[in-house]
Amino acid sequence: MPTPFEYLQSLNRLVHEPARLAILVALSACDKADFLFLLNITGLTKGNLSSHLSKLEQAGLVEIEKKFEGKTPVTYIKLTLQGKEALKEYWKSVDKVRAGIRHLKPLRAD
Amino acid sequence: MQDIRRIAFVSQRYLELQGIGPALCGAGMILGALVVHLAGDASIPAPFIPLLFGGMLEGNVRPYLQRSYQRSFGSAVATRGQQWTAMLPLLLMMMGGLADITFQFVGHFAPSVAAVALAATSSMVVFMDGRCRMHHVIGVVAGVAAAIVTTIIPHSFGAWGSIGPARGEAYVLAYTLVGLGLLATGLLDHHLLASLMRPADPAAVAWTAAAARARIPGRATFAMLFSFCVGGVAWAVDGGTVAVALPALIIVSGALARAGGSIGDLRLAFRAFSRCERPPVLNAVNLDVPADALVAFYVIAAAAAVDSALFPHRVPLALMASTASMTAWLVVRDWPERRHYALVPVAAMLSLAIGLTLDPSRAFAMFVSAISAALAVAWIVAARTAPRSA
Repeated sequence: MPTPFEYLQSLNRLVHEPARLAILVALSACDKADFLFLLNITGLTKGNLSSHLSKLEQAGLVEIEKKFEGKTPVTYIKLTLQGKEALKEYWKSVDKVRAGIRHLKPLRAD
Repeated sequence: MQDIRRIAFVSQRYLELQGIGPALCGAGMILGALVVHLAGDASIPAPFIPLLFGGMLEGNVRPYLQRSYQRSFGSAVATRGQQWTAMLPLLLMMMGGLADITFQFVGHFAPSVAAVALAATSSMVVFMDGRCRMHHVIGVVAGVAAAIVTTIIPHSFGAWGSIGPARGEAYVLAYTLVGLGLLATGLLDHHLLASLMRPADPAAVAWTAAAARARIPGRATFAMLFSFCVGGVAWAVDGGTVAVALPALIIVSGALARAGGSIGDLRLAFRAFSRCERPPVLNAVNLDVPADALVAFYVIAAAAAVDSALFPHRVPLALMASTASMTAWLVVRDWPERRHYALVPVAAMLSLAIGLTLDPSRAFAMFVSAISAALAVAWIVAARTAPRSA
């Protein structure tokens, strides 16, 4: 059986990064969200958010849609099926790490 | 992990936390109850006017509010289930109101269904979200109190099959309580949303302010038109008619303001197209409302409820005095930013002084007219003096 540290190593690095995890969690709790909403909720700067979204889009985890609503340009971001699966897998791995850590016993000095 | 929980909670409950809509519905119900008391003997089923006021105010303002939330915090498209959950409390309450009307006219004795609906939906929120939205206990208490008030007064009929005066008063009091509950929970939901969101990008806020400066805002046009309409009607007809005509005046002024705003938009859009530029932005305010303004709004609405419940058929002194004192407090607290609003407490104090010599409904109409005019002037001045740098 793999140790918690092996599970920790197997965590998806793309999802594990805090800013990207925040974006994915925000998107997983709704149908889709616009750039301003993600900016407000994550507290990232525009440049930072944009760069993280590009990485997630390249990995196929999110889908970016640009359109006009009335007279205003809006950028909508949606979690793809692959993104949903990746997040689900990530939480499963984290749960395994936590469960494994609970069973660890501290080493005795003698 | 706490931050991740916060993000998941806000994304999931984004529509439900947009509390200004329900708060306005509650404020409309309190206003309606006050108007019923000032109008005296109305020819329409007066006890249900608060429901009409609340529904109408929320319904009219909803599209504008949605734009404002979108501009302030961004847009998260909710799933079908989330949309239903967000819509359910107000929908059930309005359906409960219709059931109330039906039960009263067929002579069926039952507690207010609207109040029971509020208590039930608020209990559901407390059960689902627990500590995060514990303030919905206020809604449970208000709903239960309103249901008790309508249960202890027996059913009676007035002239022409209308509801008897005692039962009618019980319903007006019940809707005032329901309105207070909605107002408190709505404002606290909005405050929770604003505090859970990070502050909006300063550049975007400055850009919005610069866009607002480019023209007279729609809300200023609405306030000015409303002030003229109420003032004109109050001058021409008797007090009872003024109070009953207020809902119609809100609709007429809103429609005229929208039409006026559209003409302005068209003109700006034509100019933008001729210069090959992007058309102007939608007219919406920033809803990142500071906590002290929310407190002032609640105190003023609570004073109106006190006037309606404890001193019916008298000049609404508590409402006038609280408006004067709370707006003066807001202006003094942040003088450089809010100095334009100094006209509002002055208008409230003047209408309080003059209102004592008039009949209650005329005094109320004059107060509404004076405050609307003062707000319109303040908004126009604020828009003209907004910072130029975007």
